Amino acid sequence: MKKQRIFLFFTIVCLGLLLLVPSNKAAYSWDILAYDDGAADQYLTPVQNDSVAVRFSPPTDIFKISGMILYLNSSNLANVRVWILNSSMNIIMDPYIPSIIFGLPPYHIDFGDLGPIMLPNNVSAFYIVIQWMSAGAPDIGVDTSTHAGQSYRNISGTWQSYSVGNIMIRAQVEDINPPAFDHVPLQFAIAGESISLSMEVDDEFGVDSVTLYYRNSGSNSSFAPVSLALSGGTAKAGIWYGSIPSVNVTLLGLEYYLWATDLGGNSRYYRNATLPYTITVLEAVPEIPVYIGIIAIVILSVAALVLVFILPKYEGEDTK
Amino acid sequence: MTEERDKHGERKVIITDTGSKLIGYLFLVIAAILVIQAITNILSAYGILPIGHIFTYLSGPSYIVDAIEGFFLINVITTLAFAVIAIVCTVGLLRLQEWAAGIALILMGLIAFTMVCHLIINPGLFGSVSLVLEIVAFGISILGSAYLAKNFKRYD
Repeated sequence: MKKQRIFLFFTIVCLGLLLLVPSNKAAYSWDILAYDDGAADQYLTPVQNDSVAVRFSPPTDIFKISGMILYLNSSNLANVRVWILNSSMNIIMDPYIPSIIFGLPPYHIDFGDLGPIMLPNNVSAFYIVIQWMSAGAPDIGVDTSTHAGQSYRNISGTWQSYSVGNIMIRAQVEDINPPAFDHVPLQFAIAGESISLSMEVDDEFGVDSVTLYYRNSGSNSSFAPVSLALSGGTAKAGIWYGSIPSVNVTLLGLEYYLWATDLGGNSRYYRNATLPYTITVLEAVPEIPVYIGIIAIVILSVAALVLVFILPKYEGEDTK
Repeated sequence: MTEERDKHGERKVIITDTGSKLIGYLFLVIAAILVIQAITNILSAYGILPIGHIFTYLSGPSYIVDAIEGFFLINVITTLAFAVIAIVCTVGLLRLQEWAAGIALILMGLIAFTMVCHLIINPGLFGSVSLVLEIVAFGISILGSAYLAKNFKRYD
């Protein structure tokens, strides 16, 4: 009975830990844009209606501004509000009052459905603005050790560049675009020889996995998966490589398609099970071994040398 | 025996010896081999002739495939250019022209060098047919070079 209780206790503890610890995948599904080093060197104490902003250079792909991280010295967020401006200083997210957060800073504020989706063509920058609505609001951290130039302060309705350092506001952007493929399909293969396939897969936030699905042409069996490996470049723009085993390369031919997922959980097919690529498999022609070519070169070269020594040098004039 | 006019418009009879005739016609054989090689390489690259392995490389990221196709087409164009030069050399060699002997020596050296490079870099890439053709072209080139080196004065 005692052992059962201990077992039950450990099971509950383990389940609790599983729920508490976020998975790596979730942790990388977004990107943090930051200009500070994460350590507040001093704090800025604004008065009522003062506001500060940080100008962010966004990713070039489509993305969503899903949240922000604030470095405050208090958890009293009830007296501040947040909104987002585009590069033309137009409001793209209406003022939002974050709920009170308990615990130690920094504070993560999730915008939820309010977070604007940005297209790559219409955004060169965006500003996250935080305004103090009443006195007694928390101070905000300032990092003086990093290069200034991204932060602004609005005093009495006038925006001024903040030259002391970086005001510690970070943006959280979320990937909403699936990976993109660059792949010229293989058209021919040789029976009994393994097939190597490679492709470039790009994603603004990083590719998580690429899978190749294949089967023999005309077969009713399900497509067999092969996980491709990143063989060059980075997860954001890399070449993925994998192979189909030689035993599966028969004269029946092959069909294949590709599937990739990114770190944001978005996925994209490159063709699919109903419209796969087709590889025509050709019968292998016996090849001449390379050593025969080498032997031929050596024999012919020796024959040429012999010819040079044997042939008499022409000295006379034969034309009339 | 061939006939041509000199710079004064007078007939000049050129008696071509057997060796020079042979080397001239062998050059025609080289030209034919190079043309056949270029054609078989193109046909094999696009899976029409099931020889070689080049078609297995024409897949992957588009810029890599473009680069492979570019190198491959340059190879084919070079082969065809060699074939044209070989035909011109054939005519010149049969007429015992000095320029033809000079070009022929250079061309044969290039063909021999190309053959060795292909054997080192991409054995079997274009298949056995291409390998046999290259060995024959190499043989003619290196033996022809030896003959030309010894008989260069015939072409003065």
